[in-house]
Amino acid sequence: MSNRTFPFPFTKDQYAYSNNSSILDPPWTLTVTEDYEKEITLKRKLLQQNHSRCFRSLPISIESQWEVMRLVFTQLSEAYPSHFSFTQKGKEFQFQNHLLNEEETFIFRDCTSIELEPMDLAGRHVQEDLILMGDRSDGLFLEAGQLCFPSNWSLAFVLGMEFKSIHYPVPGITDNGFIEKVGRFISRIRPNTAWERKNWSITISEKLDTPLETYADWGRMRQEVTEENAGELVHLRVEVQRLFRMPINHDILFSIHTYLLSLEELIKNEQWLMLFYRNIKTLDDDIADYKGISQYKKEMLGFVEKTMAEKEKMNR
Amino acid sequence: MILKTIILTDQNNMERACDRKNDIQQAGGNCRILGLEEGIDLEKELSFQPLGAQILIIAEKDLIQNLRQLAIKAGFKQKDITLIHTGGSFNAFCSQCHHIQTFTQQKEFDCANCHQTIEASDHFSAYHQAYLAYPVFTQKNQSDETKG
Amino acid sequence: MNTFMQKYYQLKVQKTEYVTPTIKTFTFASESEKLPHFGAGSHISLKLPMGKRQYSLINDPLQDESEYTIAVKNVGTEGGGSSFLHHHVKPGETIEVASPENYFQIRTEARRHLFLAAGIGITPFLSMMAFLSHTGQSFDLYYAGSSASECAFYSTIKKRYPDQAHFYFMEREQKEKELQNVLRNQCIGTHIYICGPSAFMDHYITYCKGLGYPDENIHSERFRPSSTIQNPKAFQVTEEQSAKTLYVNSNQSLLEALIDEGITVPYACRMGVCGTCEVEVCNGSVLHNETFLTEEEKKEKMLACVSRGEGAITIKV
Repeated sequence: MSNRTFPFPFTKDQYAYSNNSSILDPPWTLTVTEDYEKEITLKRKLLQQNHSRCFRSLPISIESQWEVMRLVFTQLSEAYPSHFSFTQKGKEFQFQNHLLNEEETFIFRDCTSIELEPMDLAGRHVQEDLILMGDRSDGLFLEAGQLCFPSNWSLAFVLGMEFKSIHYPVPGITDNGFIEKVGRFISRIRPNTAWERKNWSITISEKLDTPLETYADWGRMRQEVTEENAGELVHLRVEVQRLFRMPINHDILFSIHTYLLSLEELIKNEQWLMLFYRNIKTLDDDIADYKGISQYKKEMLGFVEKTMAEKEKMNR
Repeated sequence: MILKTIILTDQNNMERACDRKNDIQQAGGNCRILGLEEGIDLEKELSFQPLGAQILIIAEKDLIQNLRQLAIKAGFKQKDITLIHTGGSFNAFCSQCHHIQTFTQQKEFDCANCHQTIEASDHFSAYHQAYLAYPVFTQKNQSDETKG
Repeated sequence: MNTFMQKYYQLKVQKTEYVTPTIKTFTFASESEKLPHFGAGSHISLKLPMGKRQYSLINDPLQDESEYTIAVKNVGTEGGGSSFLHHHVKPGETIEVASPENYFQIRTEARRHLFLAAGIGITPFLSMMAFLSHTGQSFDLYYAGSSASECAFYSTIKKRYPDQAHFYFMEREQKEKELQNVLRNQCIGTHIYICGPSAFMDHYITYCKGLGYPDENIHSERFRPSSTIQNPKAFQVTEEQSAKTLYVNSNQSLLEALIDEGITVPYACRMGVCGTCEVEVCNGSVLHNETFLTEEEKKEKMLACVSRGEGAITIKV
């Protein structure tokens, strides 16, 4: 991806967990980028080859899934009217994807009118991964998900789990009741309102699909990073995560749009280079371990320091 | 407030269940044993339990996940359910192929389905009633780096 | 500062209709845009000359008709919102309406829904029953009133939900006895929703708790008074860590004043929703103006972005 549209995540010199959410107006949960066709092709291929890894749902989610589908098609057609249209004739809805030259028709809440589950269908038209969190009287539960581009986690494992226990392995996340607070924040999001936060990690090679299930394939790459190839191999991975309160069923749609930027591209922006360097340099060891950076942190920092030294020389 | 506890148990664990019932009653609680007998319509029995009741399931490990699902279906919340299973083993969820199998003391073992060497972590899913197991590779130190 | 970032719509009154001698329905629609979807149990706020007033939507959430209908009982208070609506708001007029909120949502996970209504407290249950009829979930309505003729939507409900609706028009004591009977012996998985006058709600909530029913299974609708501080006043703050004392002007938030003084406070939403800018209150009294902290937490914490001190307070960042 080019660095023109890349959502650079660092604003301060040191990284710390925070609920760095901001409210969105209009409350759109989806973004179409120049990589749309490429990523949709990859997503559909993954869904075809590994459906049970990439899509999971509980029966309780079906009403909300319908709401998600109608919402996704409505928002796409409102945000990108030249790319998508969404119309209703009597009971039948028609969604047209002009980018892919495709059409979906369905009758709202009639499961016989479509061949896939609603969220599985809707997700095939967006770059985002879609997660449905059911708002129950005893917590937020992951009740459905279409997840093709996870950063080292397993949808199959977390299905049916409560928000807090899903995040259990994140180091330091329970300090000062942080995770409870985030849970409470989510439970108070108002209907038809969307919030956005960014999360980051590092991926070796330009690979969006890094599920825990295939760790054996992509995790090995971490050993191949050298100071010489870091610019090309190491990618800053940013997830733009949006939380939307669905008005009818009162559940939460969690959309994740993943962006990758190689260090080669990142260093072209001097401000980003500086912030990236300071954040990685001061990163706690347990977070570095958790994000899988420890193995090649030295090589990566070596590359960044060398680049900074060269730039300084040129600026003199 | 009257605390109501239902003990759901199989015949093998009836004695244990009775001990528990005595403990609960001595502490002033209200308790009833629901035994797994032949011909019992468990789904119906469970759904007629009073609102606000807690359920304690004491059973063989293989049975416990089914019983738990029935309790959830009847309307018990996750936090209303306590499980005690006999046998002293635990479940591991293979992160590579999603197969669930039991393990005892040894935390590192081969998955019976995909044969990958895996290691159980302490990340527990109440839904699957299993611990997430990460792959272990022969290269040294790598298993520590996989947790996500 | 707009505490809730709510969207307002200029809506036209489409029609009004008396459903009992004292209860009138009002239907609103937009001439220019499609109205947002809402869930069962939602309400809207109307901006009236006497302030904001909240009313439950009685529409079917799945009908998708892009109009909002409310039912208002004229409580007869001079200068009150209901009296204004009854006497002065006519079809064709425009009213400013905030997008729907929902503090009384249906609990999808329930095996059975039990609705307990008194008088005009029936309104949120109309959208709930319509919704549950679509999704095929099990529910029962127990509706107390003074008589069939004064009971709003009596015949509609009776016709639409013949098996689920039960009416109670008898003497007060008898009514109480019968409703308590209904509430007793409820089974696991039942969620109980109560709406009516405050005393009615208090009575039956207490009764349910006495039966040992968990708080998460008992729901009630109470319209919260708008928590916006009307005339913010200046106050003095001492921050213990830095030992600094500063003044927060009336047009400034505590958060802004702290940051101006060089005291670092993490923050995010700046509207009392996310909880990031929470600070400890060591001394003094606080006007809470947010929707994040629990009542227990409010005793020793405040959110610097929207809540204010009174007179002089001491905090710790």
